[in-house]
Amino acid sequence: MLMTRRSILAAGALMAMPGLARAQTGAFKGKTLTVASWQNYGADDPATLKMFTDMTGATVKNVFFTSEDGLLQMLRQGGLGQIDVCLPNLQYVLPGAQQSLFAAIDTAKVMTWKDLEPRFADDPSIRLDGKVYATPWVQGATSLAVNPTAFPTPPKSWKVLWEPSSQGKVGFFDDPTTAIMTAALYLGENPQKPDLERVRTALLDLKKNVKLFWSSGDDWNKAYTTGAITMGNLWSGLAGTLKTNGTAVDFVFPDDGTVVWGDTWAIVKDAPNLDLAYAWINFVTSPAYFVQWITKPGSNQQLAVPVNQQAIKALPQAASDKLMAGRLVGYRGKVALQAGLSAADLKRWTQLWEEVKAS
Amino acid sequence: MSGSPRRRLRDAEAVSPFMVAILGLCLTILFVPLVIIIFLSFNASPYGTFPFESTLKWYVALFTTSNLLGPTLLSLEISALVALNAALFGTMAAVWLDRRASRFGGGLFRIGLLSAITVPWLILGLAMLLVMNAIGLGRSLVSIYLGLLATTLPYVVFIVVARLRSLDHDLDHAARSLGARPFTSFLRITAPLLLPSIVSGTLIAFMVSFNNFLIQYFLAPFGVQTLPLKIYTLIRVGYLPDLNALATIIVLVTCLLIAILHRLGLRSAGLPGGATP
Amino acid sequence: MTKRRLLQGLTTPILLLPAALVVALMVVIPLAVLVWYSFAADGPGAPLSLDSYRRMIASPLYGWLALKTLWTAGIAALITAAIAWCPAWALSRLPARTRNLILLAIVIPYLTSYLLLIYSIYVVLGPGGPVMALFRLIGLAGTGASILYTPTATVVMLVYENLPLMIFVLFSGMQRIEGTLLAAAGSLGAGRWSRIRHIVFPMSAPALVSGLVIVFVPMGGAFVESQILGGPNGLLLGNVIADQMTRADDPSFGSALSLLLLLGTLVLIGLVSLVGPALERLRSDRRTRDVRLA
Repeated sequence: MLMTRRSILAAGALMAMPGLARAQTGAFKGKTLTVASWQNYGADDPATLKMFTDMTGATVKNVFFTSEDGLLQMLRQGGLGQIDVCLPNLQYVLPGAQQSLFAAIDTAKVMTWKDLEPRFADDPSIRLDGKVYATPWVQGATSLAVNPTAFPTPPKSWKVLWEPSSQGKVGFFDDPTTAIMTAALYLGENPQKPDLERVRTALLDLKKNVKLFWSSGDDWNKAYTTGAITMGNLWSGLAGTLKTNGTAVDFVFPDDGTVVWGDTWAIVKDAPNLDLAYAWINFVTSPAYFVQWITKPGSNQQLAVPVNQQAIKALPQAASDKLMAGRLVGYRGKVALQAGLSAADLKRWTQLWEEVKAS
Repeated sequence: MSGSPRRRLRDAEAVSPFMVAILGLCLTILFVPLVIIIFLSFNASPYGTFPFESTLKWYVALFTTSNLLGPTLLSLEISALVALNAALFGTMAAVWLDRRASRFGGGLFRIGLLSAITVPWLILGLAMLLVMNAIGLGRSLVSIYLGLLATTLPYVVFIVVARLRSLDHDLDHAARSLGARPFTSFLRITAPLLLPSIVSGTLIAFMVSFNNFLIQYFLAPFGVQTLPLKIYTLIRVGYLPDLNALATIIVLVTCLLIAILHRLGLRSAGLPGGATP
Repeated sequence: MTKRRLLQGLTTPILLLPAALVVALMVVIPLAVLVWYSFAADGPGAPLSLDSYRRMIASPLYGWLALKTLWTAGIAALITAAIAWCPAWALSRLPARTRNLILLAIVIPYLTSYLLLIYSIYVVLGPGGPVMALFRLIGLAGTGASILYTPTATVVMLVYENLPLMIFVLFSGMQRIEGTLLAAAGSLGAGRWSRIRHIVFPMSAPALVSGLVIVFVPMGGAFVESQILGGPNGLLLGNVIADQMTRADDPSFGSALSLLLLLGTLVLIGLVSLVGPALERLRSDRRTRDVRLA
């Protein structure tokens, strides 16, 4: 026990001092950590995986899901006892914990915990019965994006998506919580507890303007770069990537507020390699990891803003600007945080969104 | 009233240039998307944008950095296993249907087989998952094997039965009346005559199981990615042209196989009918 | 002798056993379970209820969506048949070697993952693609317009995907039409179109019907096509079913919707199957009329 605890501490310390990595090689030699995540999203970045292997001696087996519900399903249907750590969205931590899919996290074993932004680290939605079930990892906003050619002065409100003149030009994210929260912001309702009937009417109105319900960054990119859509809601990370690659896009935090999301690392219940799982969480939340991942990402990696404040400080300015980290962290307007819905509410919201799409 | 009656006879059997032109047009349309895939696999831009700049880097990536070969190999292995088993079990069942089935039993079995290809696989796949979960197999390689086997068996059975129907049963009777055991007579007389239809049944079973995204989507164990599943995850996050490179290679290998089949003069008799995507 | 008979009796179940087991376990039981689940709105352990069906009927949404799905699949199947008919006929009259080569070539797009083809079709249909260029040329569309993200794009993809299959089925039916029959009709003065109308079309009607059925079924269950190409108003029942099973996590409602789709499909297939014999009858009527005229 002492031995493993020390190796975790060592692994944690190493994040701060990568030069020591060689000396500690092999603390977990021969072990394999099974990691469930989205594809091309940090956990499968080859260079950082090599860092992890160099440091711990363990190898990583990646398992991919294509939706948050897919992740919970994966755990329910045979993932327990196989998968060590997984990457649920903040919104899905509570449903997962309620279904006993995650193990409680001992925050004392997470070296980076003190550096995490309080907005996420103190959020009630990662806690159940006084225990913590996830370590916040990265964040982003799903805010208003417009084509500057169509909008020389950027609009200041979500209202623009509802204007009659926007007909057939809107790309809207196909996700129940984002959709309902965005509509709630537009209506001036409480985004956590909106009047669902008003939201339904607003979304049905919006649908008349929508050209495409996008579900992946690729969907958006294709439609936007060909001019099929000129506005919509978009992930901050994607807007940054588009800008860096030379595509003109204005990313707006509207006056009526914006939707913010977070992705977190949770340890799966009955994880075969519990200590190694902590070593992983310590690794991926460390500044050293983020600097490597964000400045030299593998091909096609989708990046996001660290929740670890020290990691943001450690990033070069250009990389930080590309992610719009400063704008996101510095934003002081109204925030609809995608979190805290009960499983029953989530189901109700999902059904509402399904019905809007099917109408 | 032009031309001799003889000429008119030939004309009646031949097909009009108009129809042939439409056939040509149709073939062109069918191949345009494939040509685009091949084209993009040689284009340097990762987003499929122009100007066209030729490169082989996606092919290099395919064999070095991309993780596409593992899923391809897995798909090949599973499909080969499924196709061979479907051929064996399907032929056995076809012989039974042709020779021994009672009217009722045969009808029932046929309805089961037909359901396997007429119920949309979206529905069948999720129904299979419900059952696999109930009996404790869940998402597993065994489930995916059974699911693919069930959706490929009908093709083999129907193709082989059609061939059996057209066979002369007298040959078999003659062999038996000369003292051959039923099994010997089947092996020596019937089996060789059936071989072309069994081969085409196997090929179709292979194709169907290789591309059966929906059944694999519902039954594949988590973390195990067959090629269609890999493609699905990739198109959700945006894929690189190394996938086009892989598709190009698959298309070329298929062309090669088809050229070989054509050389061998394998009758396409088994090809028509029933393969659903 | 008795031993042999015993062996022969035993071979029957052994021949059938593996295939029957697989079909029972993976087709028959699952479909039965699907029916059961549709009545288990409160989970598989709870008492059966009609809640899922009540919900399905309570809103006109789902019935309407089912009709729209069947309509889309039906239209797509008919277009596929219309496009495939002439090529299939031409194929059936070509010399064997050329014909086999073309038949094998048609298999190639069919073997390519349709997920990849969807993205290729995306390029084809995009504002800069050849289809829209053609439409602009003949004045059907303005610049920048595209049929992407409309239900039409879904239909185009469905037709494209199923075209090879339709050609095969039609071809296998038309292949059986004897050239001598046409020659005889020709020598009696029937022109090319008259031969096609009075001989080829009626004789290939059964193949046409089975072709329609074979492509209609997967079209009715399609959802990836509509999700990627169909735009906000292009959703089909398949999308809702897939979402109920994954995102909404409501297998009971998903099962009830599946049965709705299945029922609709079966009814439509039944109707189409009635058309085949009707066409045959039409032909024999005409034949008697022609005889009378003669």
